[in-house]
Amino acid sequence: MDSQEHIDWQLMQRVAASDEEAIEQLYARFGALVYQSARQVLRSRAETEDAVQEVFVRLWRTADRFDPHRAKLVTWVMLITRRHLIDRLRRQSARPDRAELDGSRSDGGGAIARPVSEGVAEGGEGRDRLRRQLSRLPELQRTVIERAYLQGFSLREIAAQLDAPLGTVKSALSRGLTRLRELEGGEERRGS
Amino acid sequence: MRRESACGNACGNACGNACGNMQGNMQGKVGRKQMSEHEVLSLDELFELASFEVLGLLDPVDLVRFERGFAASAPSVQAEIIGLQERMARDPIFRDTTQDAILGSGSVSGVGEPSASLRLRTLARVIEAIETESASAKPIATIGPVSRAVAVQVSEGQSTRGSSAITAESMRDLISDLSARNRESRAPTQLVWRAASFILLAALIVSMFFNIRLTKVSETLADATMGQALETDAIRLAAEYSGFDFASSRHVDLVPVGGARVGHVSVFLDEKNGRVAVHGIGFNPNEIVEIVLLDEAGKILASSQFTVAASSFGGLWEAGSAAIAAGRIQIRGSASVGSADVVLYTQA
Repeated sequence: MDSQEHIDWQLMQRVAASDEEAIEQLYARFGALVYQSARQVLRSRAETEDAVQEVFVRLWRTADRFDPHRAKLVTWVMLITRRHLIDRLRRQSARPDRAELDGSRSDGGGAIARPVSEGVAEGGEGRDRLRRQLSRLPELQRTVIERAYLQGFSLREIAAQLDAPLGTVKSALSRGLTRLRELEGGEERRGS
Repeated sequence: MRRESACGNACGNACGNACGNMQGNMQGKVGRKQMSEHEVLSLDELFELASFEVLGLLDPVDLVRFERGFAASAPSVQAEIIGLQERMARDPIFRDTTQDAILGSGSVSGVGEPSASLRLRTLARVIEAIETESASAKPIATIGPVSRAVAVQVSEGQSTRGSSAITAESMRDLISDLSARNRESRAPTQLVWRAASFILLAALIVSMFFNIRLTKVSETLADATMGQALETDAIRLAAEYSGFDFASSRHVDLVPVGGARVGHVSVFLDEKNGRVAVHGIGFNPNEIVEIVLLDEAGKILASSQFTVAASSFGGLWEAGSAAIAAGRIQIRGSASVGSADVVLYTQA
């Protein structure tokens, strides 16, 4: 265990012991990361802030399970964050939208078929950028990423929804994420 | 070609799965495979699963496959996976870093940063969760006097989990208090009283047991004695009654007078031979009873005395044919042994 791993492990041990100072340190290091990750997939700022609070409660509850030999602390935090976001997205998809209740949606697809451009990227430059980049992906890759990353469906569920082999879905997701990253790199280069 | 360094070489499409992980520069397919407990997991697939895991996209089946594959992989591969996941966790593609978060809060903490008030609200939420959990972990009630340290904790609603809630000093207080309580509970006088209570309880149980046993033995002895006495009486009477003509005798049952007695007397009168056979039961041991034959005027025609053996008496009496034909029978006795002035039984 190198020194940084040891520091991280000690921090999480103190968090597990409900040390308020350690919890503040954890927030100082990863609050922005958790917030930004949540902001990318949740619809409103209020929802995002609520998710951040719940993620940190979850981090406190699971802190004693952190193993620096298995993952870096940032990975652990990201993993807990994503799991929480997926739970949240699934709860949302199980609940009808207000718009659906009002009868204003007529696409019949509900949460499953809702594209990211409608359901998630409702505003903000970051989400606009993501929407732009997703639109440049092949249809299968775009659909898989939207449903897996932004709507919280498991890969097996997506395979069943699309009536496609699980391997194809995994492959599409891998390729899509790779392509997304290349597009992101291209935009950064243009921006700089 | 980062992954080639881990896999040794780039080769043809052995795993059949596209190798499109987040390290987009990976073009080749890795043919070398590694063994997990139950299946062969290619390095391609292992890295692919690693990248999915960070994003929380693995279902339980793939999660188990990945964990097994990770555990079975070489340390260098593990290090590479950990590094890959760390880079993915920090990758800006998975975050909205452009953000509007500071709007409305007045904070200028930077692009993509959450508001300052969110920090306070998050900390408050976590502390609330901590307090809720520690409150639910408290005992519903305590047996015996509440120790000082525990009482202070309960009254102040202190957490039992946080280091900020329990200081080293309060922990020492708690431990010393518990030690003192242990010493008190083991004080000699208390132990003596406890021992005395146990002894008394044991003695009570033993005495009850012997009392029950003694009662049973007494009842058995009484039954045996009574049975033996009756048997002796019966043998003696059988000898005395030998030769008596019960078939031609007149049988008379006597009834108790005044209801004081609960016994019974049977009399057989043989007028022809002038003999009387009498048998009574339900008398007091050693009591002297007298059987008399009276005429109509109450004059005694004949009488004879018997001594009660156990609880019965009996025998043959030569009363004479005239007296038997003329008289009626009474059994007399008394409250005190030795006299015979009270009529106990008479002819109905």
